[in-house]
Amino acid sequence: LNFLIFTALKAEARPFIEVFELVKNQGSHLYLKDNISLFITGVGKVKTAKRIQTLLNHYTDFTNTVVFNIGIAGGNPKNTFIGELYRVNAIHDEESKLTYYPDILIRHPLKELYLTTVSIGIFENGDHYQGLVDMEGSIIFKIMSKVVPPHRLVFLKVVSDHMVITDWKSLDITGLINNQIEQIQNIVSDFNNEEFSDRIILTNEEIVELIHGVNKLRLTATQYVQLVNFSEKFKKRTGYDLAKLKLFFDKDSNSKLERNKIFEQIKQFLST
Amino acid sequence: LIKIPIQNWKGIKYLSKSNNSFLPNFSHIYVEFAALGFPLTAKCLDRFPKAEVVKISDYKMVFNRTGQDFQTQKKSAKLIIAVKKPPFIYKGTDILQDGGFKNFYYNTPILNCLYNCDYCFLQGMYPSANMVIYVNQEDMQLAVEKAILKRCYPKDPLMLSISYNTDLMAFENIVPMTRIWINYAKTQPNLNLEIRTKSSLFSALKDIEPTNKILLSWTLSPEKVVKENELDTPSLVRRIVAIQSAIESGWKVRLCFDPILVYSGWENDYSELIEHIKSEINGNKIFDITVGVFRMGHDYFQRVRKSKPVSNVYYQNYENEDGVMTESGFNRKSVESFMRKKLSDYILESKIHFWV
Repeated sequence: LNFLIFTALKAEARPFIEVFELVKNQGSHLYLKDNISLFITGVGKVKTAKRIQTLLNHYTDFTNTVVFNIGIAGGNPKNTFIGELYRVNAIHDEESKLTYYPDILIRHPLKELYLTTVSIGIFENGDHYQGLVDMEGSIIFKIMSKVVPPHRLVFLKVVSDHMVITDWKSLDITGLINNQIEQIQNIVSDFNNEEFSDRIILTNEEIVELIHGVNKLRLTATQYVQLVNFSEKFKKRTGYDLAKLKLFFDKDSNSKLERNKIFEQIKQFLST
Repeated sequence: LIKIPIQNWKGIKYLSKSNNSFLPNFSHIYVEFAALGFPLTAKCLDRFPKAEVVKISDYKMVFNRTGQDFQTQKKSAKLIIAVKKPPFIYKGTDILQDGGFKNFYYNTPILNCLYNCDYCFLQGMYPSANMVIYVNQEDMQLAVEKAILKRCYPKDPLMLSISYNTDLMAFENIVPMTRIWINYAKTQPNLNLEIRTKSSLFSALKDIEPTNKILLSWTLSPEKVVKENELDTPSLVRRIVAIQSAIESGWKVRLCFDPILVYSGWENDYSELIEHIKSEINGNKIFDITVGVFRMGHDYFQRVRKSKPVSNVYYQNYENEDGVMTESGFNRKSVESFMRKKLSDYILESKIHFWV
């Protein structure tokens, strides 16, 4: 699986950059190493939405990607402790009044809480909010749930304050995340589980091979979709791989007629 | 040219491979604000005291989320407690066997099922594997009473299938919905119920006085099909024990060989099954039998195939018959003649209903 971590601030990102040895890609602004990526969204819904939209131009394949939003949050003084890490089970957008629900399917050691995403920072009356308060969670869920299933959207928050803070600069944000980095790493590792991956019938290599054949024979987009369907059916029914398709893909098609003829032969072969 | 999707499949250096297990079913209970205060809500919450309770404004915000993965969710299904809004009762569809009953309706006290049968249409019908329990059963019952008054064939009672989109009996130890509906049916002179199940939990109903108004319908399949295609269901043996117990207690019982799956060697397996049933259950004590083949609306079928089908059921050569994916005409005829022959010495032909 691939892991994409969103943080709002560089100070929140620093421990991850260090522990995962991530290196910044100047084009995409992603910090990367192997299958782990990190993206700094900036603070607030508007900035976050803009930045993620830019990211989506670079990071396009979310097959088997688990998305994390990790960062600090304000906490209700009645049910949170400063420095403690929490898992979010509901994200309420204070502005739109919409609530989003990540799917929590595997065991984790954290207390779960409700998160409210606000548009402006809260400096008083923190106990009016049920659990946690941040400024990005809802927009991250809203955008990312279009490309990632809800069980691969994970929101982890470290409580930095009880929303009575006057001097934000006094917060040791990196330190707060750093103190929980081991626990976060364990939770991220828990998602390194094939059972979370997308449906796989055709392997990557087989899809590449099919696309190569489609391009070689100049098949249409509709024929490509049919080819994938027939190939999946063939593989599931027979248990054979698609190696023999190479015989068809080696042929030349110089006209629509030839192309369609070869495609019919392929269909015939896959239906047998 | 079609762009080749680039995926990063490099080895994972920093993360160990997870052996972490899925949370148990109903680790989370989502409760609509409107459902708070209903006795059934309290019952559910009492049943799972350790569950994480998340209060929600509308169950659809959880149940209808986009991009949910039915089969992954099945590994840790959640419970959603909601108040049903109209319609409370539906007319039977062509795919659902009416078993010869004229005023045939169904309702949905619960959405989704504890079991995970490969061939089940629920995977294609619902966007989520989570289970929804509607707590306002009284509203459904009022709708049933209205439907009884308006039924097309007033000389016949209204036949209501209450376990169409779930297996109600399997849920009986969690919420006694079957009991609630049986007791209700007893108060309505023109209401009969059909309760479809694969459950062996008849024991949970054993203390109820039997009545002719209730038809308990057990789906039976060869043990090979139970193991391979009816995940999480009780074994054939346990279902037979439940049937024997129901008949002994005086309940009306229907046997459903539906769907009969056609695969290499199916005749042998189903032949063995029928012979076993004949030796264990007296045909004279059976109300009727239904027989059907695999069938599923085309849209549902495509949706299941595109999601994450574990089984090969969705990769067979079916025919699209007016929007219904089903076995070829040849296979359907084979199943029908095979079953007619096999059952001819067991039960009157008029008591066998076919969907083939």
